[in-house]
Amino acid sequence: MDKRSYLVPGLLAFLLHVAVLLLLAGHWFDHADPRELQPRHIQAQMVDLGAVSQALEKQTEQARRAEEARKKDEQRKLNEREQAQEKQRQQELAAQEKAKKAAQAQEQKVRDEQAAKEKSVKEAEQKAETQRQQKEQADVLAKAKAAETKAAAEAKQKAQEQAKLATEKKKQVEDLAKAAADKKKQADDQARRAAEKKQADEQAKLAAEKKKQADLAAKAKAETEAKRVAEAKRKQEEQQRKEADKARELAQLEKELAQEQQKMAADRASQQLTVSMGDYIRSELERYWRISSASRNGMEAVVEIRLFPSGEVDSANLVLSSGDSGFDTTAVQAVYKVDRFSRLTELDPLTFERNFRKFRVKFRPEGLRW
Amino acid sequence: MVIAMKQRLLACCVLMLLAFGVRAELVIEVTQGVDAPTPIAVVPFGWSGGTPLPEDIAEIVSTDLYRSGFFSAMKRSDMLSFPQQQAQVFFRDWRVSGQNYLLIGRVTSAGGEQLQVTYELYDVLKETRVFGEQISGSTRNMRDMAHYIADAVFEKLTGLRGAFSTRIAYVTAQNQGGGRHRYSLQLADADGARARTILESREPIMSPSWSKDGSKLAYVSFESSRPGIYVQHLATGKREKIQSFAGLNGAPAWAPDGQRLALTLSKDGNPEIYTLDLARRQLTRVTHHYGIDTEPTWSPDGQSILFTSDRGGQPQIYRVYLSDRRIERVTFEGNYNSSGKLTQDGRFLAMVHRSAGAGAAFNIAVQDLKTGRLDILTQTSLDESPTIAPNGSIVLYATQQGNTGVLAAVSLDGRVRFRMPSSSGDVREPAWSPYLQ
Amino acid sequence: MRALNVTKVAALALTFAWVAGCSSTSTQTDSADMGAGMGSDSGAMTSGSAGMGGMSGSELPAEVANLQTVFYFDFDQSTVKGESFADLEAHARYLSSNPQASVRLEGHADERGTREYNIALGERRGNAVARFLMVNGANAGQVEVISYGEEKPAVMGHGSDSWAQNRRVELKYAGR
Repeated sequence: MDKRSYLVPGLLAFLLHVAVLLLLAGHWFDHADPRELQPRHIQAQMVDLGAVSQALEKQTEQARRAEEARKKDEQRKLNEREQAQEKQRQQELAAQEKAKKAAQAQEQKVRDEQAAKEKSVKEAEQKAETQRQQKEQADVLAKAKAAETKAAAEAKQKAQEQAKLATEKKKQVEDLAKAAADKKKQADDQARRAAEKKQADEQAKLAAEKKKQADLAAKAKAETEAKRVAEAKRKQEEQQRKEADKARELAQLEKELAQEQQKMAADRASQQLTVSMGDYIRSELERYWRISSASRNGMEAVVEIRLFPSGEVDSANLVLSSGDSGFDTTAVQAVYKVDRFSRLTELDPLTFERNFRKFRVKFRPEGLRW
Repeated sequence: MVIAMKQRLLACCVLMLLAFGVRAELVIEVTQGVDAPTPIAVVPFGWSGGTPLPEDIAEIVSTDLYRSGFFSAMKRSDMLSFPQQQAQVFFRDWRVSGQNYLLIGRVTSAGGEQLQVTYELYDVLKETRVFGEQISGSTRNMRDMAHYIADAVFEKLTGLRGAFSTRIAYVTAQNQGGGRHRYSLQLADADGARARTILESREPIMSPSWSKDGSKLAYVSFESSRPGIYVQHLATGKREKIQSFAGLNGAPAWAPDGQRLALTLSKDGNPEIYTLDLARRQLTRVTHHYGIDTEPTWSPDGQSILFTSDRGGQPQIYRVYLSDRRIERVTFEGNYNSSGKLTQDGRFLAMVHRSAGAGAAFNIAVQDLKTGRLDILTQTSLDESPTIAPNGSIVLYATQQGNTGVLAAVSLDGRVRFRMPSSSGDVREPAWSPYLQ
Repeated sequence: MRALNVTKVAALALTFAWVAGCSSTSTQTDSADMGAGMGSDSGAMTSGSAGMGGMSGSELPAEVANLQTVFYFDFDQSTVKGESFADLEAHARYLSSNPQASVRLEGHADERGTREYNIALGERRGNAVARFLMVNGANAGQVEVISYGEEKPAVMGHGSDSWAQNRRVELKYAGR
């Protein structure tokens, strides 16, 4: 019994160290890319490690515990996988939705671009430019999001692989433990020397000490790891929040754009009316503007006209003088002489408010003798 | 964050652009109008006194404003009411009658011959009082008061100084039969009223010219059987012979500085332009040409003299700069341009003009010296002696009606023409005074 | 064109040199007139003292009583017409043989054109006649030219007939 008890624990301890080192090494390599950090997976490893160390302390319970831990671990991993899949699905869904939205936006944009082209080449160009930029940005955003989703999926896959590897290692450890138990049985059969037993004891003690240290280190490491994980989590959340913000903004912009376009369509109609009303107002003023003989080509006076919805003149005020008070007077008088722009009642109230409640008229005679 | 900011900015810009496209205040440009004077109604002024007044102030003001070419005056018979106070004014009525402005007033006695005249100008379209004033005078200078009111209204509405209180001088001739004539130099209000004779002669009187302060007239008289240039002080009637050489002594024109006269003398063989320093009696010859050089007129700055010359074969108007005697031709259109007169701003030249082509008439034309554009203002024939109102709005000239000469006027833009009330005899050679103090 | 101008200029220059030479002699001072017409007030009435009285065509000397004294001109022209030559030559002979006699040539224009310019035109016509007389023997001191332009038309009216009668030079012998 004594002999058995020295050799087997020693081997076990050695193997355990190797296993721990291997696991940790894998972990260290993982650090290289913070994006690939999978906090839950690392947590699982930690728990796993604790279970293994406990198994070392109490050999009789070891197998059961290991089994328990394994089961637990598997359960966790299953949960994680499910969660990850869920998350991935959600992200994919979000991405799909975004893509759909983008597509819709694009569709609308195309429609609107055509409409805008009809309206005015210049405006259309300008608008198309901004729309194109927005679309590009949306595309870029969608792409970035897709890439992120993909990266996350990859990371998860990697984590799963690692978890699988860890499980395999554990199995090996378990196999080894089994083998060790067999050997112990053999060793029971072969009596060992006390010194050897003592040595084994010492070795076991040493191993225990080492294990304690490893525990401490693992603990410390786990703490920093937890911090890092928390940080990473925070970062990720922030990232997600940003993305959400962006998406919201984009949606908002699209909505505004759509509204604006609707408004523009309405405006186009009202603008046509505005133009014809402008012609009407001009002809009315030309009928009543008595150009004085002191007027000269190049004189220019601007009169601001305020109207009542009935088309009646509320006020006419000079806002830019020609420098010739007589000329200015004739311009203002022309407005009052018209008295009522009766056709303005044909306008819808919105167009009237927007364009004809208050507007300016520039009096600038052409074709005078001088 | 930066991207988000950029996006936001871009969005703002886009929205603002769109907003401007739609919201930018509508500006309508009016480049054409009606070539018509502004309608004004001058309502007969109220009078509380018993005996009728010697003058109808409203009628004088109305005629003044109409003749300026800037206004059309409403006929009294078309007026629905004769308001004398603001409370009696119904703007709607005047608006319906097509009026833009309304002038009302009332005359009250201030004892003896003294009168007080209150007048008020209303903007019919805005339905506001433009301005008003109370002035006083006597029954003897009611016409002056009326012209004063016309000047005030004119200036208020056109921005130009009124010239209704100025005077005109002109020459009349009466054929008394048997080869006898009677010539007289007349002085009258700018509307032709209150004419009085300041010189009479059996020999021709010609070319009256006002001194720049309006206190003196220079003219040519043949009273000594040969032409001489005289200066007469209007206040005292005192006059003196300035120049009488052999040959021509003609076309006196007062310099803006009031110290010199430009004139035409042919003492050196043919008509040339000279300047005469009145204080020192010093003659300076300005032109040197074997052709006819005559009818000098000063530019408002006194730096140059415009004159008629046939040095080019036909009479045309030239300008000579006094500093270096440089001469440039001013008129090119037509085959006869003479008797030029400049507006006070020096921009427009009124003249007698005959277009090229057989049988063309002599008309009054005005040339824009800035652009060179020439416009013929009159349609009668034998129009001559243009003289411009000091505010540059009206050209007064002589023309023929039947077999007698009459005075007529045309606004500088040719829009309004009217005849001056005819005095007895042949009227000719009007000269419009400067603004009088 | 240029050659034509040169000849024109030359001819005119000669003409005017001649005229200048003649007219300078007739300069006489009227200083006595200075202020002579001092009027009363505004209605200064001046009597044209030296009016038509002293020199009327009716006082023609017997030797030239049958000669034309009015000579007509074409529109805008100041050249003496051939039809006037004979009478003008006779007047010149008379002046030449009667050095104490003197004539006053009154130039006139029709009403067309401006008054001061027409005064100059009338003077040019008077000068043309004066030159003709002097070429034919009259002395420069015997001839005086006065232009009335369009101020003293012979006939009223605005037709070409009237104008033709008004474009003239009247020759008047000064009273002896």
